[in-house]
Amino acid sequence: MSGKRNGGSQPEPDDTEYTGRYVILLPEEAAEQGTRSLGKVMGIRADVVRGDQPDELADLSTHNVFFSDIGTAVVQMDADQLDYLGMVEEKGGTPFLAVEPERIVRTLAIAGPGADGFGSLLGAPFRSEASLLLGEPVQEQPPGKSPLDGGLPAGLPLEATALQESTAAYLRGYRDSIVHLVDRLLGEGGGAEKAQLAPAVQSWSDGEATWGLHATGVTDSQYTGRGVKVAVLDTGFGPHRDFSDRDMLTACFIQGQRVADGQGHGTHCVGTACGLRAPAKVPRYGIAYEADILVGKVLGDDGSGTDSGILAGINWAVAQGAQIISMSLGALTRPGQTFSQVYEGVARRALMRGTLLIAAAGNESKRPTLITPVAHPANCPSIVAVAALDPTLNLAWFSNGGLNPNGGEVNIAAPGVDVFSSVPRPPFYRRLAGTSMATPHVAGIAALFAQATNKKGQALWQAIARSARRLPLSARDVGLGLVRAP
Amino acid sequence: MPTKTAVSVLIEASPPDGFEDVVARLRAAGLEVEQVLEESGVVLGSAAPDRLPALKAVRGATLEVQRSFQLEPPDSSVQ
Repeated sequence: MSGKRNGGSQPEPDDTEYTGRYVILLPEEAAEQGTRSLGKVMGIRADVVRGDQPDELADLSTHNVFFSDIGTAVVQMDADQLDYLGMVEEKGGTPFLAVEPERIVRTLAIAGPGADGFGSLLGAPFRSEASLLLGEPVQEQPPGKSPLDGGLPAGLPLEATALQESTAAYLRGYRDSIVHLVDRLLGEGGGAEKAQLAPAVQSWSDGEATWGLHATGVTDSQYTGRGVKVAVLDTGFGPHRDFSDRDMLTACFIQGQRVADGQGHGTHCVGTACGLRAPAKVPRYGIAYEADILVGKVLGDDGSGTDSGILAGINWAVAQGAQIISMSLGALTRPGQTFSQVYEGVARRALMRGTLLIAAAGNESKRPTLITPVAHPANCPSIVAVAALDPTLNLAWFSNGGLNPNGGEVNIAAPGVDVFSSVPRPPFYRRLAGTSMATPHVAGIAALFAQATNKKGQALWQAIARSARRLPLSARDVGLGLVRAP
Repeated sequence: MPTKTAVSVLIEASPPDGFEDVVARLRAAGLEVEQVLEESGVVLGSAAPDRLPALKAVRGATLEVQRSFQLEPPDSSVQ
């Protein structure tokens, strides 16, 4: 736990503003005990607010409050109290799940012609997370301020529209806050605060290496993936001339087929994750060029497969001691659908044995009109879900979003549009798009981290997460941001 | 004879109950075991659809009907 202190004097690189108070998440089963600890040990008194009685508290911006329904407290603490909170926990006291500075959340108001003639964006109201947690009613647009006012026939619910717009903005802010908090809980967000914001406008292109290898810093990395086992579970591999002298262990989980790639998808993914450093006549497209490659064919030459082959493939890769498993595959999930308990159990056991599972978030979205939740099995809490970015580091139109809670979040993003890599048939290289192409970028970079840090499993993921570069995009869509090589 | 349903089962045996004990209960409840994934603690198999409720009730086992996966055709612009 390393609650970062922000009383307002320390400017944040990501422009996040803080209220000076702290949000404390208490374990569900010990919320009462936690509140007592705050009171007795810390000398902090908090008013209890219940979701069904939101009107009982006069002023949320100054009181210490405890939201009993969600086991969360927002309290004023000085530096000594903050330190003491850490000590209480170390001594076996109340296990606070997370402590982090309360941020100021702003709405993006609809710009109207303000008195200065430059719109009223600067006057956007801001509120704290405490008010968001309480579900305070949203302030309505003052009449006459909407740019749409008067320009539309009577009867249109202008105020309602404005209200919906700003409610949506509040909800997005609230959701981002929760995602942030959950990421911290899982140990995934610690470094994101320190990570730099990517430049706002930037476009990458292929040069000596593909744009994706440039954008993720792979071309500047000294690491090669040597000694690291990377498994790619897909349509098999090759043959391909660029891999003729590489160590490769293969297994086929499709009855009656051989590991040779009759589809092309698997060879493209292996190429990105582990392709060689200097192929003849084409740009470098592979990341962990000295990694040991494990190819598990879990999808047939027609591109189809079942849980049976995929689970068997994961089990094989774990048994072989793979540190990383890359899965550019997924099955559609619906909003509200929960993750697979079986895959989650398997992924957890894999993590314990030092194997990190990385999977594609899925391509079923049609942005901006349709956003589809992260696919199975990437929606498992213990599997890394990867979104796709284009060469301007904007989100790909097809990339799924973190709509479902409890594992359904996007964890990280990687290049997934216009990705140049190997295929088994002439002309032996091809440009493809998809979260399938983004996933092996993360897998290859994970191999570099495994070599650089000697870490495995959860610790390996934390190292990757700490180095991710924040993007000016929603955490719902890109998680911690762009994956970056060590 | 009706078509069997392919299932995957996560085994979470709590001692003194062992992995094999759970698998034995699954067999008794109608699971045809096809593969045991030891490292992952998973059993792959199939069962008649009318056995699924009984199988789901087996202690120490989490059963899911297998899903299928399909990549886009190779000429598709998004993979």
